[in-house]
Amino acid sequence: MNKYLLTIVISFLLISSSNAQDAKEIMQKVIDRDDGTTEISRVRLSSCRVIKKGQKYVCADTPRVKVLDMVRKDYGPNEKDHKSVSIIIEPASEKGIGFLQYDYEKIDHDTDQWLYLSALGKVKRIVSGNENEPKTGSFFGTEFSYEDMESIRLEDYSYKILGSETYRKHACWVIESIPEKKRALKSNYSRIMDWIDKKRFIALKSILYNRQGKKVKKIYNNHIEIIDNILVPRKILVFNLETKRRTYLTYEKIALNKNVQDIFLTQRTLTDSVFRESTLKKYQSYLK
Amino acid sequence: MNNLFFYPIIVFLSITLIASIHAKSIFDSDDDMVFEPDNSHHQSDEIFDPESAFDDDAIIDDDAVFSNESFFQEEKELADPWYHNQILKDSRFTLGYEFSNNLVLKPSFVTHDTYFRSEIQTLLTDKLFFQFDGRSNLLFDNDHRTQASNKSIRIVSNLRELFFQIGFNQFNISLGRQIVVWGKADTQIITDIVSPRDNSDFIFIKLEDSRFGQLMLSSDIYTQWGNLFIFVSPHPLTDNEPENETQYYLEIPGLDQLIIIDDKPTYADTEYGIRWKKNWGKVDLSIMAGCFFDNSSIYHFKMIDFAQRKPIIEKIYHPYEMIGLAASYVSGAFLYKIETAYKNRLSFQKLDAVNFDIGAIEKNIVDMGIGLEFNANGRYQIAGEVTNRFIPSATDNLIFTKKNSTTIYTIFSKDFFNNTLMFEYNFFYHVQEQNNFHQFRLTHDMADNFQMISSCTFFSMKDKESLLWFYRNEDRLSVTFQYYF
Repeated sequence: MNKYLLTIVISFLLISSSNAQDAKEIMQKVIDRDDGTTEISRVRLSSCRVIKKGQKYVCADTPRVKVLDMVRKDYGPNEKDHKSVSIIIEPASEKGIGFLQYDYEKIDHDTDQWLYLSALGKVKRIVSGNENEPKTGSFFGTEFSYEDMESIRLEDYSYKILGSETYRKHACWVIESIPEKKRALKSNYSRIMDWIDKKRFIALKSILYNRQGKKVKKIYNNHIEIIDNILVPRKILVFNLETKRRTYLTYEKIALNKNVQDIFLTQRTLTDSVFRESTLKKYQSYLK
Repeated sequence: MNNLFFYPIIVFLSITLIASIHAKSIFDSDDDMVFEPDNSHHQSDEIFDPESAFDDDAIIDDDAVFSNESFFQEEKELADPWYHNQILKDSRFTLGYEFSNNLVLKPSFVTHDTYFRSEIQTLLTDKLFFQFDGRSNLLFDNDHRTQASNKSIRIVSNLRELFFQIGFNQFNISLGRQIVVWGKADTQIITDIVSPRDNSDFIFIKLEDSRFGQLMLSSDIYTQWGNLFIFVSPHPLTDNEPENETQYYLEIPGLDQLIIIDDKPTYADTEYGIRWKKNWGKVDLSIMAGCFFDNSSIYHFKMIDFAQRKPIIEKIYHPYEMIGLAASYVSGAFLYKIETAYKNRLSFQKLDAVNFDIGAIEKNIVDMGIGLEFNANGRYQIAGEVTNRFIPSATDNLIFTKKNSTTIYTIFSKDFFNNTLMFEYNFFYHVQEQNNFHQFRLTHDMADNFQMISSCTFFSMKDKESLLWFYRNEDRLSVTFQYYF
């Protein structure tokens, strides 16, 4: 009898550890999925407070819309360091505002950010905040927080496969990610559930739980297309369950793995108008 | 025994199979997650699909089935109506209406005007860029500037920028009326001395709106050792001071008994400068140098006009040289800033009333500022700045000038409602004069292109010998509405 019990316990432990291992391997593939070394895009962000009308959530007020031209390039041995430039096209009140951002894979290497306000006429260094506590505030006033836009480091979370199910006609793993101690200190989330497409290793849906363990956001990746041989969710919906606000992030146009000059991802782009506009014009000819 | 062993496995497999076949998730149901589309031309798509019960039209994300090509092209066509040409597309227009009330003195209206601003930034060819920024204000009869000119209505225009820029591989050249912004300090002028400012509305014009351009030929040169900016201005302009009899005009006793001639710099007076700028990771550094004309004037006694029996006083804008440095370093939630400048032969006002000796004295001075910005991870931001002007030599015969002039400036700002409402509090304090003011500002983006800015400013002036003493009763409430298109 003891032998049977011991076998069951060992089997259970083996299954559990293999489950965690599998989950981590899956998430490794999700994180490592090729998103292109460069990205040139025109992004539309539309946000509003929603109310239930019949069976649908509809905007209760006129959506706030921002349109941005974005250029990103990955660096480093793992292509996990990112440099990006974003220029606001709409609304007219913010037209011409430019952001330059450098994100680093290395832990404890703070993001570098510069802001160019055409009205102010100078480049201003932005303080991104303390890395050891959660950041509040939203990305361009949307329901995306800066944390939602960050790249995920595999070792920052422990993973567990909760099960498998068909979600939106795709076989998916449902994987739970719990931030490790160091990550938990600075994360707004205590738990994330992802629906990972088994075939394409892309999250179709994510649920984010706040630090009190309450469901706070749902993120849906839609219109998943293959562009320049890379999977791209062209429309991402985030629904904030607390504020009852939603944001659609739509890639109106996008091109990947095109040649982007290193010099374009420097402060020169923010201040040198002729260089910025002529280079952007060339890049935008790649857009689909 | 065998049956007992396999029974739980069969049950487990059955549950898994049922769960995977069933449309609803056992973890989270999307039953009520149905959103209206965010594009108007999708409004007709109202069909609720219980199988994929959440999105507007896009649940079927199979690449073979759904092609976004047509969808996005259609959107582009809608976004570009026939009347959009390149210049219009690259333009921004602002219609504004503003008024302000003095909270101490009567009558209370100070400013009351409407304005139109046009900004164009467009690429004319692959190498040629054009920038224009101009503004016209229509001042109503109760505006202090209209009243000073004894008119019922007044139009004031201001050409802030108009220049062409030609781009090359490593550099560009710009010619025309341009604004140049130097340095890191947000309040006192340390190295930001090139572009003149509009002081006609005292401190109530935001710094970014107060600067205006002057004719110059400039070039940015980009090298691996840093970026160089060089400019030559053949006809430097000077600050716009408050006009005679307007609200913020300094009514210094006796000034009306003088004939004043404004001797502004001409085409013979050239201003030129250079800035080198480089970034190393968390550090941004710039060094500036040049020869400039002071943007504010010094009064000089010229002669007596015997016909009018009045002394003639000339306002002269003196040349001086400057070398300066500005640097910032960011670490975590803090940004540290430093800025310093050595100004050679800077002129100050001398006044010896007994001997009727009115003129300029040249001094070599050191301006310095240190600042700190703190970002509480998006909850709020605080910035502080201390600046000091030090005149090493004697200052006894200078008016409105002390050996040390130290100011402290702090800003607290906080965003609300997804960055659509911003509260800002500014506090300015002059250490030696003990003058200070508080300013509260609320910026509300009522819609994407419609903004309301209201601000309230309270002065507390202690030093009767200071220039700011003249503004002790200028507490003001200002409201501005701006529509952008």
